[in-house]
Amino acid sequence: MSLYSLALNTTITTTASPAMDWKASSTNQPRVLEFGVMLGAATASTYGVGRSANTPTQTGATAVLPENPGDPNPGQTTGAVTWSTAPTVPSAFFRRGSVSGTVGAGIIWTFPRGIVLAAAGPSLVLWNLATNSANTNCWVVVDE
Amino acid sequence: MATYSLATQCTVVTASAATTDWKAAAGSRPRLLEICLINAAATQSNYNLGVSANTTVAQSAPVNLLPEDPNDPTSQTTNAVAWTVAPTSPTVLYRLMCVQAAVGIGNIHTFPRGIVLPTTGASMVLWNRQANSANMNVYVVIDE
Repeated sequence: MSLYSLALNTTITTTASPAMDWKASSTNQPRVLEFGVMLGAATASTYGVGRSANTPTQTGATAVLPENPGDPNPGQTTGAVTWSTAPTVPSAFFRRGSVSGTVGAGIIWTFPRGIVLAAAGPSLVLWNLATNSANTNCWVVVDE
Repeated sequence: MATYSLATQCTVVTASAATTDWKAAAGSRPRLLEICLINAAATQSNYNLGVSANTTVAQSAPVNLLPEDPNDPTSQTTNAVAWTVAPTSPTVLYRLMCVQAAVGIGNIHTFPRGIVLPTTGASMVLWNRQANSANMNVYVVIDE
């Protein structure tokens, strides 16, 4: 197992929409150890984190970065903020969180045992539960 | 043991009332590892966390916690925000929680060895000690 992480910026403000997602490749089941959200715009925002109800198709997917340059590069897990098939709303959320309308306000969720992403399966999606910030910094740490 | 978690939105504002609870299935002894509250409305809120005094709690529309590893079985622990027989006020409390009147403010309480949920028909209840926020994000992590 090796540690990977990646930060992305999402500009999707629409409520009841995905803001970004993380998806496993068809050959591995990574564990998400940490998920951070930090506002880059002063808009109070509410997010949920859950498994998408469908299997989305990412466009412009970005692979996670190895934290050790000696590990395989790139990682197999990918993040995206645009999709040809967008993630659909999770049936339930692992986490919900609200952030005050202040730049720099944020949440860091940690999962010491890791939330497992199914191979090529549903993605772990950051879901807009309100009309949210147009500039949100997000990152994950995964073990894969 | 497998790890499960679930987030919910609590909207019960009434003082001296249950806002949400978690109930173990018969024969199961889940351990509560973490509980978090994050305010999504600017209302100061005070909560008690403890075991309901009654042992006949009946949840309406209970939601099973989500496995953090999709290879694990469905959780036997359920969460609810409505009841046909509501939890009654805990007589002794594990935690007292206060949340400032601002969006994004919250508490995270962790229990490294886990508080074992009751198996008597009672539930672990988050209790409104006063008229509380109409929009409080709450999640728990359990081991079962």
